Amino acid sequence: MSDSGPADLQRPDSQYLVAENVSKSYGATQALNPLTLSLARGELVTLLGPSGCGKTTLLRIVAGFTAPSTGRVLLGGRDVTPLPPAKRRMGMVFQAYSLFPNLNAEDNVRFGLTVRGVSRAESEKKLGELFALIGLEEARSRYPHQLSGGQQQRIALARALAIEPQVLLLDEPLSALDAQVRLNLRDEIRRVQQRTGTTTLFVTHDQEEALAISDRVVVMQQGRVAQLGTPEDIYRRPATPFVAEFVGTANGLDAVALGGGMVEVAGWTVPIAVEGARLYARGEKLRLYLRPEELQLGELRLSESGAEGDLTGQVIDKRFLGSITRLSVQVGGSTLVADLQGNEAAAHPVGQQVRVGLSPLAAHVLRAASTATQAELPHA
Amino acid sequence: MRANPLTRAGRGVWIGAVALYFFLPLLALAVYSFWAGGNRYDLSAYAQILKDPNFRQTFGLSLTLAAETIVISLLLVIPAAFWVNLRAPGLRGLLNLLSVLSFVVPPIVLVGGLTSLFRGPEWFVGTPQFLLAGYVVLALPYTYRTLDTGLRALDLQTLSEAAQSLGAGWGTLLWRVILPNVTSAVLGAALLTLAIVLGEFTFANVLLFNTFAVYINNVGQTQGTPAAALSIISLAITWSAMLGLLRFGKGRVALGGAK
Repeated sequence: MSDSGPADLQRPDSQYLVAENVSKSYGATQALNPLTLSLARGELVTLLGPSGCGKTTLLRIVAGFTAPSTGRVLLGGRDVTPLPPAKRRMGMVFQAYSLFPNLNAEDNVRFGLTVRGVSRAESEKKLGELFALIGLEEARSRYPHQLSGGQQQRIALARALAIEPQVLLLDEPLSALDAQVRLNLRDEIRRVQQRTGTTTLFVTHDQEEALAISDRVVVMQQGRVAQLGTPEDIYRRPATPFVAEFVGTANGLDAVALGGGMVEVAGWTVPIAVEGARLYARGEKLRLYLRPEELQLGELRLSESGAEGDLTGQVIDKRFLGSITRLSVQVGGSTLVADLQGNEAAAHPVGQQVRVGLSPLAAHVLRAASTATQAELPHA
Repeated sequence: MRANPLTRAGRGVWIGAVALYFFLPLLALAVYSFWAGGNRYDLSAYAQILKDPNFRQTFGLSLTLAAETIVISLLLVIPAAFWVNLRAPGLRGLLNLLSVLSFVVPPIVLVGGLTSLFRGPEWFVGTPQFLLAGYVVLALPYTYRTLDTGLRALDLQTLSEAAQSLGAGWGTLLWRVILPNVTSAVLGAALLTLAIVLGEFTFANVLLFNTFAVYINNVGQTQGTPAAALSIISLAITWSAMLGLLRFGKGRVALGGAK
C-alpha cells in the first residue's frame, strides 16, 4: 500500500501521517492556527467543524493543493511539503462530483493507473477488484451523466483507491447526496477503508457522520482544534461548550458551583458525580450539559447517591422523530429537550407538569467560559 | 399551454420575413451564377472558376493560413483561458478587453501597426505567413470567447485537482482531461477562425498577398457570373466545413458523454 522508504521503517505507525505545526494565513486572516495532528497507519480520522473552521484548509495542505504558511507535512517520516499533489500519492474524493465527463466509469478508475504507466493486464485486474469492492460492476461502461450522485462518488472512491494511495483524503464526499444515499455510502466508505487498511483523513460538517465512521475525531473551531478524541470521548466528554453544543444535541444549563460536588441549577441544588467536580470553587460559574437521551421524565429518581437530583418543568412541545419522540420541557428560564421511546413519551402530553431526572453520572460540567487552547489538548 | 393562433401566425410571418431577407439575395446570386447569357443557364461559370489555377492556388493558400492561424490561436488561447479560469479569475476582465481590441481598431490601422512593428526578418515578412500575425489578432475575440465559455461550463478546479491527485501533470491534465471536455468549444473556435481567414481581405490586399479573398475581389471586378459562382462555391465550402465540424463535435459529445 505504501512505497516505504528507510525512514518509514523507523517511524512508529502511530505517526504515519503528521501535519506538524501547520498554519495558514491569508493576509491578516488566520484561516488555520498552528496545529499538529498525527494519523496512525490505517486509521480514519475525521476533521469536524462548521463552515470556515479550517478543516478543508488543513486537508488541502495535506493534499498539497494549499501551501502552509508554517509547518510541514510528513508522510512515513518523509517531508512531503515541497512535493506537488501529483507526487504525493494521496487519493482524494471531492465534495463536488469530480469524475471526468469524457471518460466512462472504467476509464475514470483507470486514469491514475495509466498516468503511472501501470500495464494493461495489471490495471484490468485492479479494475475488477475495485468495481467488485464498490459493488458497481454493472456500471463500468457508463458515463458520469448516466450515473446517480451516489454512484459517481463510489466510482470516485474507487478511482482514488486505484493508485493504492498512501493516504486517502475525503473532502465532504457525502454532502451533495440524499439522506438515504448518504447513510449507505457512509457505511460503505468505512467498510472499504477498513478492508483496504488505507490511512484516511475525512472532512465533514456532519457530526453524525463523523461519530459513525471515525477512529478519532478532530473537532475544529475558528482555525483551532477544539477537541481531539474518539467519537465517544467527543460525545460523552466534550472539552469545551462549543464541542458540547456542536456535536449532537445537548441541553446546556447555567450552573453555579456550591462545593462538595453540588451545583445550583435553575434554583435547585443538584449533585454532580463528575470527576474533578470538587475542583470547582464555590461560586464559580459553570455550564452543565446533558444529552437528551439521558434525561428522564416523570417520577424517576436517577441519582445513584440518593440525593435529590430532579428539576420540575412543563412539557411545551412534542415531536415524533420515528424511533424516538423529542419533548421540549420548560425548566425555569431554560428549555430542555428529552428523547423518549414511544410508549414513555405517550405518558407526557403537552402542558403536563413533569419531574426531570438528572443523572449525576451523565451530567458533564464545564467552566462557563471554558475554551480549550492548543496547549491544553493532547497532540494525537 | 397552447399558443394563441394570432401569436403563432405572427411568429410565422416574422420567421418567414427573416428567412426571405437572408435567402433571397443568395437565391438571386445562385440564379445569376448559372446565367450564360439570354435565356441560357448552365454550369459554365463554375467550370471556368474550377479550371482557373489561381482559384486552386489562392484557396490552398488561404486554407493553409487558416489551419496555421487555428493552431497558433489554440496554442496561445487554450493555456491562457485555462489559467485565467483556474488561477487568475481577476484577470478575466483584462483578457476580455484585449480580446475585443480587434473589433475596436479597424483592420487598416492594424495593418499599419503590423508593418511598423515587423520590418524583418525577410523569411517572415516576405512570405504569406506574415499575415498570421494579424489573423491571430483578428481571430482572438472568437477564439477566446468561445473557449472561455466552454471552460466556464466545467468545474475546472475540481477536475484539475482530481487529475493532479491521481498523478497527472499539467500537460496530461490539459490534454487528457480539459481538452476532451471542451471539444465543442475548440471546434467552434476553429470554425470561426476558418471563416474569418477565408474571408479576410484588407490585410492580404494591403500587404500584397494573393489570398482567396483577394482573388474573389479580383474576379468580382473583372467577371460577372464567375464572381457569383465563386461566392456560391465559397459559401458552400464554409457551410460544409461548419456542418462537418458540427457533426464531428456532436459525435464526440455523444461518445464522450460530456455535457
